[in-house]
Amino acid sequence: MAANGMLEFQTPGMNGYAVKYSPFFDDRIAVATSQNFGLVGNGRLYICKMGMNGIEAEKWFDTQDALYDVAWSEIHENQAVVASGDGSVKLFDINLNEFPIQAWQEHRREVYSVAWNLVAKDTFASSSWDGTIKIWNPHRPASVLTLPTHSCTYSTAWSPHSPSVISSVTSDSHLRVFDLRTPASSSNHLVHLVPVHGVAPRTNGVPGAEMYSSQPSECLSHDWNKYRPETIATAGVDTIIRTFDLRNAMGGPLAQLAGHDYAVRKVAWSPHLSDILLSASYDMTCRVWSDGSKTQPVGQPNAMVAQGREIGRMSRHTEFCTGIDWCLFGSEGWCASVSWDKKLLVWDVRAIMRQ
Amino acid sequence: MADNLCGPSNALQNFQKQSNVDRTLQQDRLISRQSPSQGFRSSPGPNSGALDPEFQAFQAGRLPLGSQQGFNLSHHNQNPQQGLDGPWANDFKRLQLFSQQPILEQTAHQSHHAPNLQSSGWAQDYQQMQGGQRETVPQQMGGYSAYQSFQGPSRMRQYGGPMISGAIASGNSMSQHQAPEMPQEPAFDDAAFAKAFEDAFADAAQADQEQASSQQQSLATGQGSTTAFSADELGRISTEAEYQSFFQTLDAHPMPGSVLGGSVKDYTRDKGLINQEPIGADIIHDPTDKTYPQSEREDPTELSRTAGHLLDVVSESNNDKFANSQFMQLMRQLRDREVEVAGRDMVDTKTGHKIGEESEGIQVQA
Repeated sequence: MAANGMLEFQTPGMNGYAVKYSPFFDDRIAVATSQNFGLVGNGRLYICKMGMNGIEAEKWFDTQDALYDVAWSEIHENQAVVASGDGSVKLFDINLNEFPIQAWQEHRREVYSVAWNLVAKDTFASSSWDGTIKIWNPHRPASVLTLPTHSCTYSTAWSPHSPSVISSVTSDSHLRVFDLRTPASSSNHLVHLVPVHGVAPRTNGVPGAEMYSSQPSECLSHDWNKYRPETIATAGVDTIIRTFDLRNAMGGPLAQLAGHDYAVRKVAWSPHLSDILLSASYDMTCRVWSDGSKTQPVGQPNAMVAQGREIGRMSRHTEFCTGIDWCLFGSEGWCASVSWDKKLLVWDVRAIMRQ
Repeated sequence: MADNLCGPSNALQNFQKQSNVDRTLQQDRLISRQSPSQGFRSSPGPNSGALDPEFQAFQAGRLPLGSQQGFNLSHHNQNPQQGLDGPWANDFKRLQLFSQQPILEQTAHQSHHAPNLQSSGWAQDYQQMQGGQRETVPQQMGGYSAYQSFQGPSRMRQYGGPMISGAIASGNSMSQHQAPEMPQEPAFDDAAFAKAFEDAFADAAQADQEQASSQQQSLATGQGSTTAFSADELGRISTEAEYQSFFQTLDAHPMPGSVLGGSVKDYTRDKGLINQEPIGADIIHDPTDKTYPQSEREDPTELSRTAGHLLDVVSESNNDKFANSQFMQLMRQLRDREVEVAGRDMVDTKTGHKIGEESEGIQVQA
């Protein structure tokens, strides 16, 4: 037990890359880790359990190559899928030992992200540096569908509101949204292609409301808002977190949250509050943000960019912060973060919020 | 980008919208509106039979529907009343097939085109009816385009390739023979059309060449290129003339499947990414890509360089964390070649030992 009511768990020799709360148990957390900061070496999936004695490793699974992401199964409480540096996607069952119950080797390069479908719970997706998103069914030996992005794809996510809408952010500074209900055609289900860095400079006739586009920069993470089905937050190398409204995808960001000193590795919307999100950054901090949508109604004609702000900062990690996730249960505000400092921290956002 | 907002679109869908335009409904509604003098809907009209001889003649193939000469004659005719005096024409006008408005237009139209040959009167009247009814038909194309519009675009697509090309060519010859008092309509100037087509072909040829050298260039100049007809362009085509020009270009330059998805990759990739250079991870060579030289793929100095670059980036940071960071320490060692990657391990180049603390009990099986 660390100070400030913060729980800590060490992952010796393994640098953390991703953390996910179980959607079934409030005391279970999965952590994807890698040796040597993921440059070379093995990977390990930790299954941690929180109890009276703090956090304990309930189980772990070692893999041949680094692990970059993990996603819990939404349909089976004991299963989780991991993204591996050797291009494989592996499904582990906590009740079994050592080996994955299923492994798929289709990606040609590092798999950087996995995401389980929250509505159609028998599907999940993976995205890779090989420029594709692949959609899988745990019971099928091969992928169900491959969506091309033609760019190193750092993150993929399902809409929490639709079984067939999936999104990605890529190295080419674009947010893509695919709708699998659209007929297969030359667009490969692509329905939105949003330049995260902005489009050409423009005004909407209001003085001071000019939007400036910036240089393209790698986009590393994104997340769907849990309450506003059309809102996505993105973040990446240019250190700015942006929110987009897909109803006006080319209209530029709703909010721009600037403050991190280096690239943002991960963003996550609160499961409890529609305007709160967390970020984990290479500046070794995790921060809490309000996107300003509560104080400034979204869609106001003159409100080109909402006034979001940072409302809290957690600086206990001593290396790059790589993963962060909200607890779905209990009182709102609990979250877990991992870092290359080989630590998993579980903490309460409300404890670090500025009064 | 507009189709981004409306969901995916493909060329076939838009074409279908055009070809499915059902003009028969409009005609049925007008034709079924009988003259009030008739007692019964089913009774034959007062002129039933009057048209039969003409129709027989038409069936027998004697009418010059496709005859170049007939059109030219009609264009040169300067006596509008002559044709109307014929008994058949009067009957025809009394039919009241159409509402008053088209009739008026038709009359005005006939002031230029009234037939003087009894043998071709039926066909001419028929064509002018068509011409007057459809205001969108380019008038200088004469009866020919009216006939084509009657056939409908779908048939044009099926059979029309060479024929339509011919139609446009004949349109050119007609414009040369036009009487000087014919009102010029610049919007449908045949010469301008011909020039536009030639320009389009030139652009297309040029774009083809450019595509061979650079895919991006071909997409940028795709406006006039047959290989880059976008869904937007198909959607814009609304008039017969545009159809003709479109299909003519299609026929003249058979596309290697590019409209309907032959170059899927280019279409989706470049929709919003024209002129954007790859950045970040996209410029890292795929290690499995054998097209890059071996030395480049396994350059031992590459990691060292990357580490040095990273250290430069954070060198301005006054954050103590960066000074104490294990990762930054490793980057310094990599930059100075004190540590190298050997196989799957980080190895100290002086001692030859693996570096980094051992993670407890790692047993790699998975």
